[in-house]
Amino acid sequence: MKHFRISIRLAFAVLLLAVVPALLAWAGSPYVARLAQLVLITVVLSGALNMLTGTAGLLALDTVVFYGLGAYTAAILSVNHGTSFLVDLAAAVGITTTIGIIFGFALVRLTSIFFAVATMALAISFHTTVLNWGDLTRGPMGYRGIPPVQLFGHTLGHWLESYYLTAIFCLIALFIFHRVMHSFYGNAVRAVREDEECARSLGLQTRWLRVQVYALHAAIMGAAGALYAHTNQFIGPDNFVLLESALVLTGIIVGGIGSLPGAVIGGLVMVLLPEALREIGNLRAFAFGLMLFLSILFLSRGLFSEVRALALFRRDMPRSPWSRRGPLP
Amino acid sequence: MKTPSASSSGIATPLLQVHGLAKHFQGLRAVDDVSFDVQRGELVGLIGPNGAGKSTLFNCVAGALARTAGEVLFEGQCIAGLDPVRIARLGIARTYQNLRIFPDITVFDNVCAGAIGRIGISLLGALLPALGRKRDEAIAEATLSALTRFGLLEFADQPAGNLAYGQKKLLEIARALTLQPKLLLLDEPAAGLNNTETTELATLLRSLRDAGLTILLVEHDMPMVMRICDRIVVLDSGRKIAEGAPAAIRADAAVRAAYLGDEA
Repeated sequence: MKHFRISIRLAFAVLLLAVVPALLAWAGSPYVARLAQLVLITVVLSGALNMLTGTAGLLALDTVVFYGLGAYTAAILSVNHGTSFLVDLAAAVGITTTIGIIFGFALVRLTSIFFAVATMALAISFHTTVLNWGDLTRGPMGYRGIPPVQLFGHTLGHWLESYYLTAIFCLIALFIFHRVMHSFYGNAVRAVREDEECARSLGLQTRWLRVQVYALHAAIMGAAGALYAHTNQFIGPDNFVLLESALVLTGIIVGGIGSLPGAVIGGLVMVLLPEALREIGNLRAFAFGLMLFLSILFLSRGLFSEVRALALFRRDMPRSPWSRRGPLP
Repeated sequence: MKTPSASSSGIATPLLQVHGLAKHFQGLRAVDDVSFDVQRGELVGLIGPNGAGKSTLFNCVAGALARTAGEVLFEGQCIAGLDPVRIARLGIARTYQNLRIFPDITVFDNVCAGAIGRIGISLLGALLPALGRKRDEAIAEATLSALTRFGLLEFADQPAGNLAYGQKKLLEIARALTLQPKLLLLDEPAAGLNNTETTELATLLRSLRDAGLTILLVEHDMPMVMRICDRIVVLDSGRKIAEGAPAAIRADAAVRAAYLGDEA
């Protein structure tokens, strides 16, 4: 079934690199292209959060911390020091990984609601810090005039070029999530989620595994933040409020907790649904809330559950019975 | 050091040595000065009335509880106070009294956890398929052979929570065995099983022992313990009151008194 397995990835790559750009070119509107990029960045955030909250079972509200750290790192470096995109990206990943490891060691001693509350505190203190550390962050003003992405001397000025960069970034991130979630590594992380004490008695270094997943999620969110800063060219504290973390979390709950397709669906829904509901004006927030409420009520495991996602991707495991047997019902 | 001198001479060291082990919960002496050995290839039963301290002793050996005093030596090396992860990697696998499987993930994913713990995985190996392939194949092979051996292969892609109770018990043993332990600690494996299942379990444990695995078995089911164990250690109120072959234990006055009351 090898050809089938490749075709899922291939189909997704073709969708992002050919079909969507063709539609964007047909629409010819920078606004729609910007929306598409926002979807892709949200998909990356959802995927990273789903790896942590779904696969590792650590309910986290600190999305905006690492996303924001990455964005502010890129903004401060490029505006104040004139560095290029790749340098900003490397710096953002470096800083978020380091902070992810440090926070990770402190945080993974906590589980369940205690972990959630600690990460919520991080998100709130990050926002407060950004607002008040004016010398560094320019406080409520935020950073304007962040230069567009430059790669090898070429400025990606056109919205289509910018879209392609985001799409490629999204595909790389999805590949990383895929490898982590649909491998024996993912199995080990899920075992730790299910019963930590039992996993330890099987020789799994549960805390270290959690720190790794936490740091990886931080690094990818940091990279997404740097990309957001350079493609949006403006960032401010309002982009990184706790509510944004909650929105990404809601997305993965609707899409399917622990499931990679669920994260993609979640990212799509959380960006596009509010846009689609723009027409109905003031009823928008109500309709949005109602949809989320109903989806959680009737689809408690999300639109694409973890069990289904794992069955779909299990064929990637080497020499498992499924690699010979083909797709499951 | 209370380490017996046998360890340095040519005489084979027992696989597991428990010396003067004690575990006190505030005033309660759950385990009090218990000593016994388990030789390589032996199937040793640990029995005693309710509250005798069997499970406490068991958890001290497995590293889940810190002991108050005494020594636990595995292959002559002190393991008391070690982290359960280290103990598992040294070659001691355990099961739990109250079934602890991972209910929401599949049977395959449950069983592979022990193989992962033994063989190890790395984030880099997960991200770069070429780097992790050898380990992945070893994990898959160990998991498949355990599933086949325990007749669980046909349920491999079902959530473990869907299995029947007896199969969940087998799953837990299969998972422990993918660690390829030198010593298997079983905490009441027959609890909740019907007669047929208990007989099957006894046959299975005996065949594991015949294949060379050393087993320490905590069990309530007296007929099964008497039938399959090479040697039996009896605890009562935290103290060891008898040790010996099943026939000797059956005839032991102290054991009878502990089980039937002092007047018996």
